[in-house]
Formats: sequence, structure tokens, C-alpha cells
Amino acid sequence: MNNEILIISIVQTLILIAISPLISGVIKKVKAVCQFRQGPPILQPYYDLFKYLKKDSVVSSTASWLFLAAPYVMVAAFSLAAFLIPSLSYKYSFSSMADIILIIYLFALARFFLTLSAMDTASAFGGMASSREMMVCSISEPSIILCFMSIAITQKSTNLSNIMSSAANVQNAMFTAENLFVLFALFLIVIAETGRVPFDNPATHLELTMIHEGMILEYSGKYLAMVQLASYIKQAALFTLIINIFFPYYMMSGFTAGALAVSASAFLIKIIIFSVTVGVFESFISKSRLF
Amino acid sequence: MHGELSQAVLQNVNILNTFLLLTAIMSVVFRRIRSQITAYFFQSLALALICVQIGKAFNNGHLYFAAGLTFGVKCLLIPLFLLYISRKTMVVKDGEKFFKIPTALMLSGVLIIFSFYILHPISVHAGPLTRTALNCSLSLILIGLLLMINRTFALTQIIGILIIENGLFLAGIATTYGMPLIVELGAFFDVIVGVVLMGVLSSKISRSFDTLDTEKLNLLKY
Repeated sequence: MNNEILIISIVQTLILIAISPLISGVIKKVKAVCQFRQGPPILQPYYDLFKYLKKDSVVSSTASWLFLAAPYVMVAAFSLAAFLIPSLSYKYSFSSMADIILIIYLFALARFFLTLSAMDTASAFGGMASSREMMVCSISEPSIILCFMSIAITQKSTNLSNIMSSAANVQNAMFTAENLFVLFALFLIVIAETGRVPFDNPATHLELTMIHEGMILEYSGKYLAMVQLASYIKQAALFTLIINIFFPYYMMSGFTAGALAVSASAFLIKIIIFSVTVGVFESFISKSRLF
Repeated sequence: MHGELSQAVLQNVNILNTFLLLTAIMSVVFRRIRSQITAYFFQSLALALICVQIGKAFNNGHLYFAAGLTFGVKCLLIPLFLLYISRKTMVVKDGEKFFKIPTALMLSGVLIIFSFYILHPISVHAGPLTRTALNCSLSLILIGLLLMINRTFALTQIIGILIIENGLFLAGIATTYGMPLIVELGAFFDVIVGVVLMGVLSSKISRSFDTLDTEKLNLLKY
């Protein structure tokens, strides 16, 4: 049993990390289609990542060790979160460790290091973007805790596996008024956390509005690739949280290759549908003025 | 009666109830009158779909008729009339009287919690379908009142009273599972006449005093 849990957990983490740039590509493509543009190919984020890996990285002479350590911390924290979030199977996962609060604070840890590293090089944009990021986070983090606590009260557990299994097995567990409001709120929080349109625009480097881009402005080469990969994994992990808590359909029940294939393809379809929804939502809304 | 209610119907009605509340909250947030009318359109559409769902679950033919009437009157007639009035009076944006929009948003959340709290002694005895719908309907009524109190322009106040009416209608169909046809017809007639009267009155006001701002109309007293 323990071996099975380990194997499935590693497989689902690898799948999540592997498809995480794809989600970004799908969202970009959907936005382009909505604006009647052709848009970059869906696999463009992968090409970008490989290109960054080939380039040299330039580090400011005033930067401390923190600047170089932050990308590793971010990738590690988000990968651990991806490891703990059940994406293919709630049965075969490290359920005793997969607590919601731990996952939220893994995200917070990565964000802490990102904002520190942005201030480390003492560039004006970095400091400005970090303070903005902290402002958005000070609003979104209490609300994400509130949302998950509300789910935890109705499902009587803060453990992700328990929540998903009761959502999958009890009829109408998630489709009560309270949980549907949580779904809408979580959708908005995920939009804010991943830096999407009403809060931040991932497509521009306009100094007046940028949040996430402002923080990673100083990175180049393989460090930029790691920071980008970390933000892709974060996005994929948050999307997985929503779709697997609210739509836990066709998740793995037995330890067979067939079940693995079914759950993996169902997961892929669900996450692509969700990405298309996010892309369409982003196209039909204008950037709100925060600052 | 509640035992035979299928889980799918319950789930659909719950989703639609949530959507009703969500559109009510949206109309607290929106400032442009066109967005208000769109939110009201979707709210009425959800109400009509709830009628269809409950009618299908309880085999009540009246409710299909009520759903059709809701769609015809509240989704087509009233929004078009309000659009016509807003174009005639050239009102685009609305102002707030007491609370700024973020505060009003918080307050509508408080009102929802309040209505869930105050209905708790009733809803523990009610069936699963009535429970959520009753809570949502009281929330709708309170949010409509908030909208009426908090906005300055007459057209948004009309939307507020229409939201209250939607809340009452939801409470009616969720507790009785289909009122007698004559009551429903009377209620719809009431709404149409009310909206036409209020619309004509507000276009008259705007023609005579060149404004629909109720704050400014208060000055006429002095």
C-alpha cells in the first residue's frame, strides 16, 4: 500500500508539473481567439522555458545569496504543494499530510521569498511590485483561508483527501448554496493569485500596473526559467484544487494502469475546460484600477 | 413529499438559487444602469428555470405557465421597458447615498448571514428544497431594500423593488410548490402595472425637473 501511494503521488506530481506550462498556453490561445488574433502556439511556454535554460543568466553585483536561492525555494515549495494536492487520486496520496492549511502556507512561503528577492536588487520596480503583491496577498490570503474553512466545516475535515472523497461519494455534497458561493469566491481568488486580468495583466510589462512581472524583472537565464516554471506550477496547483474539490469525477479508485489512464485523461480534460473558462472570463472583463 | 424529490432537481435548484443571490449582489455592485438591467434579466431567467425545475419535480402544470410568464414579463417586457426609459431619460450612472459600494457589498453579505440566521428555526423543519430557497428569498428581499435605500436614482430604485418582488415570488413557489393560477396572474399584473407607472412617473420627473436624482428632488420641499 505504501509503495502504491508513493508511486501514484510521484506520477501525479510529474503529470501536474509537465502540463503546467500547457495551461498557460491554452489560456493565451483562448484570449487570442477571443480578440480575433491568431496568437502564439499552445506549446509556446515550453519553448520559452527551454530557451531560457540555454541563455546565460546575468545577476546584479549588489544582489545577495537570497536572489539566487529564491527560485530554488519557489520551485521546491510549489512542487511540494503539487505533490500533496491529489490530482489523479484521493485514495492513493499522502493524505495524512495533505492538509489545506499547509498547502496555503507553502504558497505563502514561496511568495515571501519572491517578494524578498524582488527587493534584494534594490531596483525601483522590484520594491514597488513587491509592495503591490503584498497588498493583493493581504486581501486574498484571508479569503482563501475563509473559503477552505467553510468547505472544511461542511465536509468536517481540513484534509484534502477526506474532502475530495466525501465530495465524490456523497450526493450533493458540494452543490449547496454555501459551497457554490465558495466556488465563485475561489474562482476570483485564483484569478487574483495567478495574476490575471482584473487584478494584474500577465501580458504586459507596463510599469504602472505590473505586479508579477515587476518582481521577476531582474531574473534572466535559468533563474528566470525556474521562476516562470514555479508560477506555472502554482497556477496548475490552484486550478487542480478547485476542480478536484468541486468536480471530483473519474478519479482513480483502483491501482491499475487502466484506472491511471482514465483518471489522467479526465484530469487533463477538466483542467483544460477550466483554463478555457478562465481565458474567456479574462477576455470579457477589463483591468480594474488598483493603484 | 420531500422524499420523492430527486437529487438532481435539488442540485439544479440549489445552483439556480445561488445564481439568484449572486445576481442580486452584482446589482449592489454595478453602477451603470445597463449592467443593472442585465443582472436583473439573468436573475429572472434563473427564477423561470427554478419554476420549470419545481414544476417538473411535482408534476405541476401551473408552474410551467408561471415560468413562461416570468420569462415573458420579467426577462423581456420589463428589461426592454427599463432600457427604453433609461435611454429616454439619458441616465447612465448612479450614485450612492449612504454607503460606498465596497461597504454596501459587505453589508449585503451581512444581510445574507442575517437572513440565514433568522430563518434557522423555520428551516430546520423545512424540506431541503424549501430551506435554501427560503433563505435566498429573504436575502433577496433585504438586498433589494438595501439597493432602494442606498441609490439615488429612481431607475435603480425600481430595480430594487423588482428584486424584492423576485424574492417574494421565489418564497411563494418554494413553499407552496405552485400557487393557484389566479394568484400568479394577479402578482404579474401587479408587477407590470407597477413598473409601467414608476417608469412613466420617472420619465415625467426627468422631463419636468431635468433630473432623476432623488436627492435633488428632496430640495423641492424648501
